[in-house]
Amino acid sequence: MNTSILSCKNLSYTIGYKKIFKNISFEIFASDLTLLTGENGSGKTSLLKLILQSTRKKEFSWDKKLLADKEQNLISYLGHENGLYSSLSLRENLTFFNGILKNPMPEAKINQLLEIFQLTKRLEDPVSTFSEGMKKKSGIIRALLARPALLLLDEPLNGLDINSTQAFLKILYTDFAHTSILLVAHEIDKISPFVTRRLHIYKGELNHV
Amino acid sequence: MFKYLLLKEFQLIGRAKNGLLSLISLLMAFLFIFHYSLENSGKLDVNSIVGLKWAGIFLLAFILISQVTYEERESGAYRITRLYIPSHLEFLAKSFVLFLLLFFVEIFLLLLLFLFFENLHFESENLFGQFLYFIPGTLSLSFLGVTLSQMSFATRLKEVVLPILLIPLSIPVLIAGMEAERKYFSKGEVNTSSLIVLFAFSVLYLSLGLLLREVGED
Repeated sequence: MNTSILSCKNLSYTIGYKKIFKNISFEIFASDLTLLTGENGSGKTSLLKLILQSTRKKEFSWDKKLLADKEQNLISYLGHENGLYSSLSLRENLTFFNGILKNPMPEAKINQLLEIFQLTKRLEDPVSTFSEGMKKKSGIIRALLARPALLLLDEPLNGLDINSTQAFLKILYTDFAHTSILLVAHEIDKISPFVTRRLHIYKGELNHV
Repeated sequence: MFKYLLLKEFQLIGRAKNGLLSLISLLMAFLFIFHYSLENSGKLDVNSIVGLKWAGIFLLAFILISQVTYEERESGAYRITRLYIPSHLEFLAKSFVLFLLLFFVEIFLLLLLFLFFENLHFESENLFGQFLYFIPGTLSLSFLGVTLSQMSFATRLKEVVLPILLIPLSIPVLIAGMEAERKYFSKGEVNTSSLIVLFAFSVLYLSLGLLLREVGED
């Protein structure tokens, strides 16, 4: 049984008058790939954004060893926006985001990821000139730089071609096999071989499937 | 960490060359219109030129603040940066770079004022008076602008927050700056109390920015 790295108890969340969650509780376990599903607008992205603030919210509690580890980045996030400065080049973006991490990724490893996603030749170009798929791949590399305890991925397969999807899933399954991943996706058939747990949001309630 | 933050801010500004060029063109057009419509019909006195200078400073601050915060908001990079960098460091780095940028554009504004208006003489005493007050004034506007732009990320009104709050909160700084300079140019001596008031505004808006940084969170 894997140990819990993050637990959430009785979390409620409203936007305006709309209640998104009613007292939901869940746990994220070490090395698990948890799939989060639900209808459009059910609150999947909101839940990921709340987890981003988990160190400041009383409903969440992190594993104390992880919190005390000075070399471990807790969370990394890839949302609908790729989180890259579009006027900066891919190299400038990666240098910045790698530079602010507790434990930066070695350059050789970054180059390897760039090779896998076929972005090496576009390293000096501004991100604004990239296609949607290339922006998504750049966002994935940016999110992987942190090698975090918990990797939050919100529909990461959107816009990826078949080869890139396979390459990405392979990276998750090999290099990030010991990372806890919470992933939102609608392409359940592509993800399901890797999934160890599944959570489903329905009408403000979170069910363990 | 702070080194990477500053580098990124300078790189973002470096990519906004077109915006800066537009700003300089706007500044030249703004002063030329005043020069053509007022200076030609009778020389503007120093007090009026001081007012014109602070109007220019406000205009520059307003446009630059909107410009430097636009990309943070649009790309979602702000949310990612906040995961790894304490928000007070982010606030200080952005304020510092905005201050530097405003400072250099304001030097250009001063040169234009000397060029367009005859009653402003290019003398060391004059230059000292011009710099003495606009440095703390610009510092206040930088802190205020970054505070409000961070607040605007978290509100549903987004960029509407900026003009709604920036204008009323800038007015005390502008009035203090103009009054201080008028006293300096009429009496020829440094008014310490005005200088303290301007620095107090800087400290106030710096504190406000640091205290309200949590508002900028999601």
